[in-house]
Amino acid sequence: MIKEAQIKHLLNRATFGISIDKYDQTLKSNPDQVIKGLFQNAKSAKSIRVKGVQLPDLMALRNMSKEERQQFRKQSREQLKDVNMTWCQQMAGEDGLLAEKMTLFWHDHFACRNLNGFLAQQHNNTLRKHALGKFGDLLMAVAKDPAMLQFLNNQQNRKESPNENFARELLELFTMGRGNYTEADIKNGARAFTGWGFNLQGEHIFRKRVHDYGEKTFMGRTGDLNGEDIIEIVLENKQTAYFITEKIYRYMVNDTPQENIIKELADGFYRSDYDIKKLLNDIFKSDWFYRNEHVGTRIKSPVELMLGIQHQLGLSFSEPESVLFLQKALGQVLLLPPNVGGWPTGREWIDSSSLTFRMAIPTLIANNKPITYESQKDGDVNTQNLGKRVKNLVGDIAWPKLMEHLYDDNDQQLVEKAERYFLSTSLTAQTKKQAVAYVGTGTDENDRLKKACVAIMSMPEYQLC
Amino acid sequence: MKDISRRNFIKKSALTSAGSMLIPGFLKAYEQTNLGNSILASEKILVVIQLSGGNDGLNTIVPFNNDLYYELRPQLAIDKSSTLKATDELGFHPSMSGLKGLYDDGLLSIVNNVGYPNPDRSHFRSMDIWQTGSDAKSVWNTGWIGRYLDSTCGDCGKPHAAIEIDDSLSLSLKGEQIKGMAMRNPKKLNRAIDGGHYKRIAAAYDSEEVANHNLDYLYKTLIETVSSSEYLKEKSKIKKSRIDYPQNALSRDLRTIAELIGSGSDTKVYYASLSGFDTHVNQKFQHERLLSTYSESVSAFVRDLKAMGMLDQTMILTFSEFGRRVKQNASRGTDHGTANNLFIINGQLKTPGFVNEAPDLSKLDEGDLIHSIDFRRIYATLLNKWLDTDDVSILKGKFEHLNFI
Repeated sequence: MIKEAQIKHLLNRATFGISIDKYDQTLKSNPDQVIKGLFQNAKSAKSIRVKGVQLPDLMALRNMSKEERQQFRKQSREQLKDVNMTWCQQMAGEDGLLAEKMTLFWHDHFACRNLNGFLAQQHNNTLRKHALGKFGDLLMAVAKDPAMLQFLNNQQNRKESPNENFARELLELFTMGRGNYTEADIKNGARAFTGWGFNLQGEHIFRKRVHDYGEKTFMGRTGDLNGEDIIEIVLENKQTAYFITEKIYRYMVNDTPQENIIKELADGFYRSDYDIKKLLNDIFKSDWFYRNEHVGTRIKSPVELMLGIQHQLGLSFSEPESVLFLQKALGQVLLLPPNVGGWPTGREWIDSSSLTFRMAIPTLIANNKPITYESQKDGDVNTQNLGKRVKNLVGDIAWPKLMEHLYDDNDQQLVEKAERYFLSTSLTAQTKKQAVAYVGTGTDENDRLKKACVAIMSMPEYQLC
Repeated sequence: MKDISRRNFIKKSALTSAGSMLIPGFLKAYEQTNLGNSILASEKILVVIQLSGGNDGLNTIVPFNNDLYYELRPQLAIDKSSTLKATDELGFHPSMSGLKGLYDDGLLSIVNNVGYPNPDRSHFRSMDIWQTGSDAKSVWNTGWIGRYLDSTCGDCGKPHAAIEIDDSLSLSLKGEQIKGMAMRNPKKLNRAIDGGHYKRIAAAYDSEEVANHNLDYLYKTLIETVSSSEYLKEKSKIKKSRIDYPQNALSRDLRTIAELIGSGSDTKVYYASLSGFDTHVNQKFQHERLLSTYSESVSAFVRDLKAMGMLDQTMILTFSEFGRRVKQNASRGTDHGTANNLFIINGQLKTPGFVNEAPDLSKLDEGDLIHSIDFRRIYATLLNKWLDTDDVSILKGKFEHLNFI
């Protein structure tokens, strides 16, 4: 594979695609330099700190009038929206992109819904902080994270009445996967996490009084086990390394897992004490990562599609809420995963209506067309402000830069340049013909460039990376 | 006799329409191969109406002789005198004369206390459970109607076998192999498809050249969409509704469905929804408005189906993801609850009226009703007795059937 294609593939998977700002500069480097640069750049990832986002003063809340309380709830929903938009802005920017891409991965893996802006922001920052660190640290931090403790009912996990929700998801979804533990392990695991909760300041606390200090047997180990012990035992089990590696492989490489490669990666991951950065480095530096079978074969999630468009066009929306509308319309609202299992993947995203809407987005962005698409109403009063309809999806596009890199007087050449820039796979002869014909209807240089971009981005091929 | 002629008619009309279309030959071939695979093994049709947000079942079907009801809902309870009485204990909300009329005509079955073990009070989670047909512990990523499509249609691929009247498709209609399609109406769908570049792109597809499974899948979805859009456009010209519907979105959607049913569209399941039932604050007027919208729209829909002679062949299921807490809250609303009633409408019901006992307000679980009928028993009944298919494999488990069919 030629160097340029290698770098593009790498950036498609490790970030949200190559951005027009860095087109030339990036493609001139060699893949090893780019990989090094990604990890270097990851350090510049920033925590989200939306102004005014804070925990409610529960005492004050109690004394509020009904109107004040309604006002307060409304404000909290607005804050959640701001956290979402700020995160999108960071992902559409240039800082810490690998860390952001992995934060998005962990957000899906440790799927957690919390309508409180402060807790959602804190949770997100926890994921980012450990996104490329040790998985053990990440897991422990998530297990102590108030948003997660609340989401999986661990505040209600008490000695007298254990709540198994957290322990079950810990084993089933966060670490080992189904079939690798027993119901008794869940029961005893839940007992070990009794008393893990959080206080009014949004900090993790251990409530001794409700913790079960009795003897428990968890995955063959017996003793007065606590939550930390459970996490340690789970990490000692190689299945955890395998489970996480497979999921990262599906995210970064291919949604059809390849057992021998995953096993080798997982062994290294386990030996490195779950070093996420090393695992990713192993993937990016391998030869197999750049094989044709992996290039341009992954269906973009809605958020990946949206951010890819933003990066590739150098686009900033005129209406900042456009990113909310797109998330809602495409069925992936960040901070509000559908359930603890996270979002769909791959083909699950594609049906006749989602595909036709996805293919229409570039036209809506480039041509200032009114939006007639209405997002589905989920009936929840708490989330209806997210994904409000916007008038249009227009914004500033880096046309001069696109002109500089892609333009050609020859229609065929222009289409092929756009094809190489926007797509990871090549068009068939017939589809390319369609695009060339469309570009031929352009009135001037600007119009032809625009038509080339829209034509290529509206192809089914653009849904892949 | 009637059945055979209708099926022939469908085939014939679809073929003529394909011939007159300005679509590439390859698409026409595609259409024709699919005509043989009609999933219309029977002529039965299922319409699902989803009430999103959690409908307050207790103020929908009112236990007007129950003191506990009036005790727990001092401001919200529906007056005994205004309730449209059906039995000695239960009656309809006063704004639901339309639905009461269906009840009086023996076209409505009401199933009380429907739910599932370990109920989840989150909208999303509970809606997920209802849409996938899973239990509260499992997370599934296919819908119960989607799996029905998978099991019946193999990979013959025809999104319009199940249609949702919406811009986006619910999990209910997504199978592993086959997904239904979402559209507002055939006209709008067709305008979008014709206005875009979809047809040209679909026609440019070359399976020899595309050696990428996911890309293949994208093109396949696109081709099916174009094909279904053409099919529905032609179909929808056949029958127009002659009934007056009320002016609201649900009525508009149900009318679209009625016209497609009347036109003999090769569609087994239709899906529509009405949203806004999350009535935490000042429930009274909002709920009244929603129930009236539902009741008036459905009764117009039933009249329409009757006029078309399709009421016996159409089964209408109405559900919500949960009911609401028995006790009203401090904002004159109700919070998320658990078990709820659901409605089944058809011309040939075996058990018109109330299928089972009224909710027991003296036996609550943390303030919520306790379910006595698992919702998957309703699905199992519909899949097996109505859609003539293997309910056990689709629901991944055996659920006892009810007698309404």
